[in-house]
Amino acid sequence: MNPLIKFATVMVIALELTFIKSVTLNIIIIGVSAFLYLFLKLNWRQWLWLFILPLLPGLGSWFSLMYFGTGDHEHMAWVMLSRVFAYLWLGGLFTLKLNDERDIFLATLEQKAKLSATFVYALVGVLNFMPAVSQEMKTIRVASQMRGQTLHIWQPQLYFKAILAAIRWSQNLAEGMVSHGFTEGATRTHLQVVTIKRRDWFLLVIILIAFQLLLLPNWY
Amino acid sequence: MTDLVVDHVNFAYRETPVLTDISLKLRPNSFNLLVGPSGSGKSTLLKLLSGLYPTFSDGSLTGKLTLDDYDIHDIVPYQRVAHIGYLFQNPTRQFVMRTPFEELRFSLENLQVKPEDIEKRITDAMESVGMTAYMHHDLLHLSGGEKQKVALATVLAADSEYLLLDEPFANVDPIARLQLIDVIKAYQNQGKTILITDHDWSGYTDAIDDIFVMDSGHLHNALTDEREQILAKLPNQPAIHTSLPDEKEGIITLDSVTLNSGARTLLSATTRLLPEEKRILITGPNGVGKSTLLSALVKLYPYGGTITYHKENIAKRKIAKHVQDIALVFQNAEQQFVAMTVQEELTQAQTLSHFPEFWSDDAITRVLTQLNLHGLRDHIVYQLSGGQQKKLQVLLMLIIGTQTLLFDEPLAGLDSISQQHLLDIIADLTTRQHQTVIMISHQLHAVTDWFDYHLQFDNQELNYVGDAL
Amino acid sequence: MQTISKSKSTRWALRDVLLLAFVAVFIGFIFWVLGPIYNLLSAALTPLGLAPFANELLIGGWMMAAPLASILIRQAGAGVLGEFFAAAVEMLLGGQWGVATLLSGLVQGIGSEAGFAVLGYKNWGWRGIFSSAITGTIVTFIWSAFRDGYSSYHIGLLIALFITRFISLLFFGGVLVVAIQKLIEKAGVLHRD
Repeated sequence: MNPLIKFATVMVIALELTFIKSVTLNIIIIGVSAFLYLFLKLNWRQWLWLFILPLLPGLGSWFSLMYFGTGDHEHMAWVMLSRVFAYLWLGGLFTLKLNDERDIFLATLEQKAKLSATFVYALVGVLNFMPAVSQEMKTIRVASQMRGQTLHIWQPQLYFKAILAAIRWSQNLAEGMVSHGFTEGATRTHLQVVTIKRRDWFLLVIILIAFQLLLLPNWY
Repeated sequence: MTDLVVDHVNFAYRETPVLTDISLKLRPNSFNLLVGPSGSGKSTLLKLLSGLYPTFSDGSLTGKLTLDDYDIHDIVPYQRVAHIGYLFQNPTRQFVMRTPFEELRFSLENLQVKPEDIEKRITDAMESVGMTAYMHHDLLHLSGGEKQKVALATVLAADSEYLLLDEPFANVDPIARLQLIDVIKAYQNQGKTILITDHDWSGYTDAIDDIFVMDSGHLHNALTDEREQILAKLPNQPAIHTSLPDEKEGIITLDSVTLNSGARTLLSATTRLLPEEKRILITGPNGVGKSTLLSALVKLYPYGGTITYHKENIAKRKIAKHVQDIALVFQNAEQQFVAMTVQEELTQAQTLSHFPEFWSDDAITRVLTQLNLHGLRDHIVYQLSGGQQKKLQVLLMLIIGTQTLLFDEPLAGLDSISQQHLLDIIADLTTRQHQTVIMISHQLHAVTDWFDYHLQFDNQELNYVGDAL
Repeated sequence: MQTISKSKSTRWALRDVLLLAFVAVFIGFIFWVLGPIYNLLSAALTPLGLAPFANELLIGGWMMAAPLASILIRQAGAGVLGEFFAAAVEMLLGGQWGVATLLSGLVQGIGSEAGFAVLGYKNWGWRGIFSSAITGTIVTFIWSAFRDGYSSYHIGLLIALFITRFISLLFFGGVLVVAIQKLIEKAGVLHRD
């Protein structure tokens, strides 16, 4: 399935989940996702990630609602616990495969969703800079420690330094892009032309209709 | 052939003139060398020719700078790049994508090359620089020379008539340098025009047609006599006079230390000691891992093996405490500022100095004057020139007086007089404060007799070399 | 040859978009580093049923990308875009809320930007910044009523949560952003055309 179509499907369902108070439906989403993961060949780390990560925010909401809720709060407590899992498991269908599908996702955004190349390549450039950003943040802190000052999260200097780096880097990257012929608003050719299969559109529609039908019964 | 015209060009940066009344004519299919001291305006001229300036600077431009009668910086980049290719001095500066293949594809798609031609052009360009094996490698983990080859391949793939190269070999080891020279010569033979700035033209002296000399923003064409003079004056590598250390103990010891960048080994298991209160020089080709080594010493980069400081394993030392004893003077000075004005920075350093009795206001004023920074006390540090920032940063770190100071290229970008002043001050103060100095530098002319020991970093090894007794 | 006409300036200049993206990533990283602390706090509060307070305390930090993007770029849409970039980064780093992070990012961006919008996108100083902290609190709180099940809480807890969130936004999105803006202006490192 084209990753952008997958993304759209996942986002629509996630948005709806926000407003649906149903444990059953959340569990169905988790179950269907789990079934799909069987085909995606996850490693044990990814499975662990799926199980552990939602636990804390899920339980956090669960306890609060149990203690401090009103009305049908016990139901809501279970809804929240299952919802956090549903969000992550559903999203994982998109994010866990994104490393392999990143290029085609971005190409689809540019070629099919007609997102301006400026945004697409800003995103690409920044993604490629992520490891450097993490190193730069460490450096910023250590460099000022060498001057005898520790920058804390509540101090504007920390952010100022980060923004200064952002300003310099965005200038450099812009210069690099332009020196390689990147032109704002101009057409580009594409080595790989992305096509979205008719099957993908069909799947999108089927999944969304099926999901709406699931909403009809008054689930717990 | 399009017509590149540079006629009475002036360029000023915040009211300071950088280029004055420049006119330049490149003969078609010629190989041109642009020489001049650092800071004389060579890079600025190249960036103007490439159309990146004035857009990417705050400078103001007057005069005629045109390609077939169009203002160069007004031509849309995808057409401009098809005529004028530009190679940055620092190869990491120009990459947008993750791998060489993606980088070249990005560029060719921008240039609106037909999809069916793109792959062939990528392969051809990568072949010409001998980098096909690295097509899908992560650019982050390539060495300086490899990065520059990929950068050159990107420019070659664009097939522009003019090729501008800003000290393209500054970050490149000697072998890669010769390979790159061959590629550039071959490119010229396809009927292209080359303009290169460099300090060392050994290996391509025969290829040079015209020489242009830049001096404090003024440009002239070197005529016969001057030309001969310049070509004869090949910068020879100065001999560094150091001895081999005979200390049994070091302030820093490396025990089977390894360094990696991605899958690439930078340093294979190395055991060395670095003696206390000495000046130690580290040299080696760019991208070999010198900066990475310094980062590892201040716990900013992961390493294998054990590093100790005063016999204490640094892995067990808290970073905030560790860097009170061993600090790095970063290559990028801005990273090390903590205040806003020069005076605020000085006051901050003064309060935290390990030698408060020495660093009186008078002492600071004296050094400031030596460094030619005296009149700048109320200036904002981020508004200073690169050279001023560097001098201030070094001074601040000297005032703090950390026991061991690591310097990463402190002399780069300074003119030779400033270099000498800065070295004198570092020598004077670190001796007085009993500091250990470890320095990476390529400015070897300035440092021939300055160091006690010399570590050479090459081929994944770190070895002491020395000639003096 | 084709030239860039002087009159035609694209609404979203390349440099602005890149700056916005980098600011979002840097802010994302600063607060991502805080992740473990947040988790500890949250875990400690969980048995007491007070876990949401951990979230409320830090939300201002997670939302900082929006007002920062607005004051740096000074353009309608910058806040939403900045926060959206930040959310995308958080999702890719493996945030706990998965794709819901993106939706929240969008809501947070809109909430924050609304403060500048009600002042007609004219005030980018402290008035605009504090206005954005206020609208940010209100809009995201309504969102939490649905997403986090806040609508099922006792009114007392709800008020306490609201106040905590407001304080967090006032500090991170208000006081801190104003201070950062002062530093940037003083340093003169941002050149607006």
